[in-house]
Order: sequence, then C-alpha cells, then structure tokens
Amino acid sequence: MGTSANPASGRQPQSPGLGDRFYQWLDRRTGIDGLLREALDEPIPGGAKYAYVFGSALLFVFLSQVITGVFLAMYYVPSADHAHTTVAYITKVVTGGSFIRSIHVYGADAMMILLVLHMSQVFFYGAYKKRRELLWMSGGVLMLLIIGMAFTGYLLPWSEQSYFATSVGTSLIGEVPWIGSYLKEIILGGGDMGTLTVSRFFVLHVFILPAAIFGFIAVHIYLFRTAGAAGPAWGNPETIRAKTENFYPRQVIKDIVFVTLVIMVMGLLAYFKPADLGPAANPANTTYLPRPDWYFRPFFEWLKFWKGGDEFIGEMIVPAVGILIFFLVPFIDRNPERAPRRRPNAMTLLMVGLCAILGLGWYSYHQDAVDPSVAKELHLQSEEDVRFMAAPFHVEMIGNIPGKVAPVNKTVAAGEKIFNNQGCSTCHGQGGVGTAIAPKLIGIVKKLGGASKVGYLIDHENAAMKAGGMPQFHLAPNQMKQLLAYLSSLK
Amino acid sequence: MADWPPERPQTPGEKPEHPDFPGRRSFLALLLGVGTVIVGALLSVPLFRFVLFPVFKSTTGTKWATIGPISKFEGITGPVQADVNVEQQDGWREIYSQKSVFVIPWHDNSSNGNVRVLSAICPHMGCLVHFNKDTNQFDCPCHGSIFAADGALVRGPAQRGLDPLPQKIVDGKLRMLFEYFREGIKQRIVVSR
Repeated sequence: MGTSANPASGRQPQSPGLGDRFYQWLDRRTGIDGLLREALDEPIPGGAKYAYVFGSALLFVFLSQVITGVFLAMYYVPSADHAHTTVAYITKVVTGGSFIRSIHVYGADAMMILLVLHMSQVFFYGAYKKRRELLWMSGGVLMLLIIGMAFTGYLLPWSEQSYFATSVGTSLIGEVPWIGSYLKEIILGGGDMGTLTVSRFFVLHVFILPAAIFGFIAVHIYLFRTAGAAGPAWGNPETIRAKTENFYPRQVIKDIVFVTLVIMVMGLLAYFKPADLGPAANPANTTYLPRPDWYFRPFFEWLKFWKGGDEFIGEMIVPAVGILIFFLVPFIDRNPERAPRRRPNAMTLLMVGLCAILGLGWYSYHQDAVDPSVAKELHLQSEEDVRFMAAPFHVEMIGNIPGKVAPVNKTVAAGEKIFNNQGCSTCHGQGGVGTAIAPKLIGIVKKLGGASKVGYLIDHENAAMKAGGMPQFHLAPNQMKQLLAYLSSLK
Repeated sequence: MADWPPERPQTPGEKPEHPDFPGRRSFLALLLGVGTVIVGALLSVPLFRFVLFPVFKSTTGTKWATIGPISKFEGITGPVQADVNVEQQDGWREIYSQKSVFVIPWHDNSSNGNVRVLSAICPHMGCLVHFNKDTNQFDCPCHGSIFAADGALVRGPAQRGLDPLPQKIVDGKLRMLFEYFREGIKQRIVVSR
C-alpha cells in the first residue's frame, strides 16, 4: 500500500480536484487507499448475492448491541437491590430510555434469528468444507458466546421473569457430574441467586463475553479473508469465474439494503411496541411460572421429555454431543461436493435440525396454551407486566429517612408485625408494594373509602380475592384494628 | 468439478478489473458515504436524548426542609450556622443530604421571623464559606472572597453577595428550600432545585 497516491490515469488529463488532492494527502499519511482496497476488493466468485448478507447483518446488530449496551450502563446499577429500580428508571423516566432499551432487547432477538439464518446458509452452501474448517469452528465459538450473552443479559433487569428463568437455567449447571455444585456456586457467587449473581452476570455480559466476541470476530473475518469467499455451491465453474466481482460495490449495497431493513424493523418495533418490564423479582413467590425467552423455548421443551434417572442424558450428554458434532462437521463430512442436491444426508440433517428447533418451540407454546391453569397463570403474569409498565416510577428511598419508613405509632408498628407474620407480605410484598400474584396495598384504604371497608373485605372475601388465592384470615378485633392502622399508614 | 472450490486468485492480474475506486471520484461512494452519515446521525438522536436527559429534566431536586424552631433564632445578633437534612431526589433514588446554611438577623418588618437564610455556597466557584467571628465577616477558603455579616459582597473574586434561600415559617418552625445558583456571575439565577 502507499504507492497508490498517484491515481491519475491517462483517461483524465486534467489536474485533480480539491477532493482528490485531499484524498492523496490523507493517503500519503495513513495509507487509507491500500486499506480500503484490501477491505473492499475481496473477489466474490459468481458475484454478489442476497444469500451472503447475514454475516454482515450479524456484525452490524452486534455493534448496535455494544452501543446501546454502553449507553444503558450509564443508568444501570448491577446490584440486586437497585437493578430493577434502575431499569424501571431507564424505561419510565429517562428520555429515549424505553426506545434504547427496546432496541437492545429486540437486537438480542435479531441476533438469534440472524445467527440461525447465517449458519443455515453456510451449511446449505457447503461453505464449511475444505480450507474452511477453522472458519466454521470459530463461528461455532461465536454462536456459543452469543448464547452466553443472551443468557447473562436476561437476568440483569432482576424482574420476576428474569429471576425465575435464570434460576431454572442455572440449576442445569448444577447437574454437571462431579464439579456441578462447585460450578454453580462459582457462577452464582454462592448457593443461591442474589446480588453477587447480578455482579457476576454483569461482568460476564459487559466485559468478558463481549471481549471474547470481538476477538473471535477478528479471527472469523481473518479466516474468511484467508480462505476467500466460497461462492455458489453449484453451477458451471467457468460461468462462476466470469461472473466474479468484488465485494464493493454490489455486495456492499446488498448488505446495506438488508441491514437497513433490519434497522427499520427493530426501530418500528421499539417505537410502537416497546419492550416490557415486569415487576421486581420476589424470590418468595411460589406460584410464579418461569418461562425462558423464546429462543430458549426449544431447549426448555426438550428437557421436559427427560424424566427421572434419564434426565442427565437429555440435559448434558445430548447437548454436549450435539455441540461436539457441530464443531466436527467439516471433518465428518469430508466430501468436497458442495451442491445441496448431491448432499442428501447433509440436507436431511439441516432440515431435521431446523424442524426440530421450530417444532419444539411451537410445541412449548402450544402446551402452555392448551393447559387452562397454565394459560391462566401466564395470562395473569403478562397482565401484571402490563400493569407494572403502566404504573408511574417509584423513587427508591435510601437510608433512615426520619418518619418516612419506620412506623411512628405503636398500633401501626403492631399492625406491621401482623402483616409480616401472617404472611400478608409474602404475596402483597414488603410494605404492601404488591407483587405479580397480589395487588399492592399502598393507598388501599383511601381507594376503598375507609379502613372499615378494608376490614370488611378481609373478613368477607369477594370472588376476585378468593380466585386470586387469598387465604381466609381470622383476626381478633384488636389485631384487626392494628392491621388496619398499618394499612392506613401505607401511602 | 475437480478444481472446485476454486482457489482464491493469487495474482493481481486474476482479480477482475475495478474502476478507479475506492473513495475517489466515485459518485456511488459519495452517495453511500453521505447516506451512512445521515442514517448514523438519525440513529444517534435517541442516544443524545438519553445522555442529555438531566439537562431537560430535574434529577437532583430538593424539597422544603426544616431548619429548626424559630424560637431558637429569636434575638440572634450574628450569623448562626445550621446543618440541615434536606430530602433530595438523586436520580432514581431519594436521599437525605446534609446542606450547610447560615441564619442571619434580618429586620424588614415582614413575617419572616426577623431572620434570613443564606446558602453557604460561595457564589464564585462553589466552595463552602465560613464565618470569621474576629472580623465579623464570611471568608471563602478557596479564592479569598469576603462577605459582610449580612451576606453582602465585600471583596471578590465573587461577583455577588451570598445567596438567600426561599424561607417560610410553618407551625413555629423555620423552613427553607435549598437551591443551587449559577456561579461566577453577577446575576442570581437558580440552576436546579
């Protein structure tokens, strides 16, 4: 590079314009011309195709995730007692916060879809064969890292949904033979999920995994350029050679068209249907039905098929063997033939794999829909999410604010004891803030028009309370008086 | 099919002819460049709004706070320092933060209890001033500004006297609203409350 500062060919005798002179000036100092040629003059056998856009789109969405992620970290606090508050603050208060968080959430979904498309295209075109074994394997590492990003990122809002989904996910880790319980403790930062888990997942999600992804992207692109673009998997080699063109301009434009489409879909979704945030995690909630995000649904459903002593096979052996086979595909399938029509076994495998993933995912949602009690509970949970989103942001009170948190009056203090000891707080939350299973009680006395009305409802539960699973409490008149005094103090 | 997949062209001669690009005199490149910049600028609008949010909305607002019973300040002859717990919004949380104020005697026949509440923040660059009993003046420890016992400016570099805070008496208690003022200028402009 470097010598190209002399671009004037014989075709243009006039002296170079200002733009050209600046470009020459810049090139002499940076070698940008050589860099651009190196980046853009990659020959693509058979010419540009829309089939090749998914890798570039993955790279683009990953960069979008990095940018939105960095900005989200400006307000987010990785600790169990502030994580949910700060995510709620981002979603409900900060200007553009809901939009940026939604782009990040939908970006994660887009990564998963693009990952499957990219891998399927590479497999379909047989582009993992001969000279491209390491390219395929580095892509496999990137796939695992991206799945790790999805898993660790899901916990960070510390909502009911993310807490329970992650607690199921991490108990799988405990099933690893011999070292499982240690491994789980290392990942969770202890025996149970808590604030150390949030810190660990945050560090993984924000520092370690992204750094590894950047590194493997570099490896992946380097190996791709070393091997060269694979080109069409079928057709006449002479025609393909004749149609060969450089990455720039036509493939660049196709990439841009597709990426623009992805941006538009993500932007419209984020604007018109912002990502939800459910209520804060309540580890005491025993009725919550944990469900993973859609991209983990096939695996979630798969695990249900393995019962009793065989569980270990489904949880560990099959996935481990599957991943091993995935990495060894280029060595197992050593036939240089790339045309899909002449690779019936490989195509069958691809079809069966894709159908299994889609089928398991569909079956998981189908099962939830046909079981009335499950469907009802999931519906209640999603209604709770909507209600939380609609409620205004609650500022978090810090420290001993005089006369604000501790009840001042003896009757109120006794009432608070009853509230906690009788288990009211288990469902209605500490301080009556409400949870996914029971409404908040802050302001309930004013809302119902007096303490006596609330007392009547506790003694005579209405249908909705019974249906919601509220137990019948029998309190002595004096205890009732104390409890009502406490409920009246919740404002 | 024997030579499939084709080896990557090794010599420049095998590469297809490319026009005099990249970057130079290519209308397409210009179009792509300009398009990318415009789309990038559009996409960064929400990010700017996200970062600039504290400029448009209050993130550190304070509430009215009680200094003490007004009887405590009856008949004072000079400035009395008071450290007040002020309930303050702090982003996504609400805290009690301690603020220093001076209560000085002030007789203007209004219902302010014959006192005035001054912020201890120096209007020059925001250091906390203290009262020097020997000279009966407020000294700023940072750049040497001096204020009279009534808060008036005696010597710069500050360009105005100490800032009075909104005050009122409720149920015999002196209350004030802690405000921040723009520093380094002559005018008294509230920047955040």
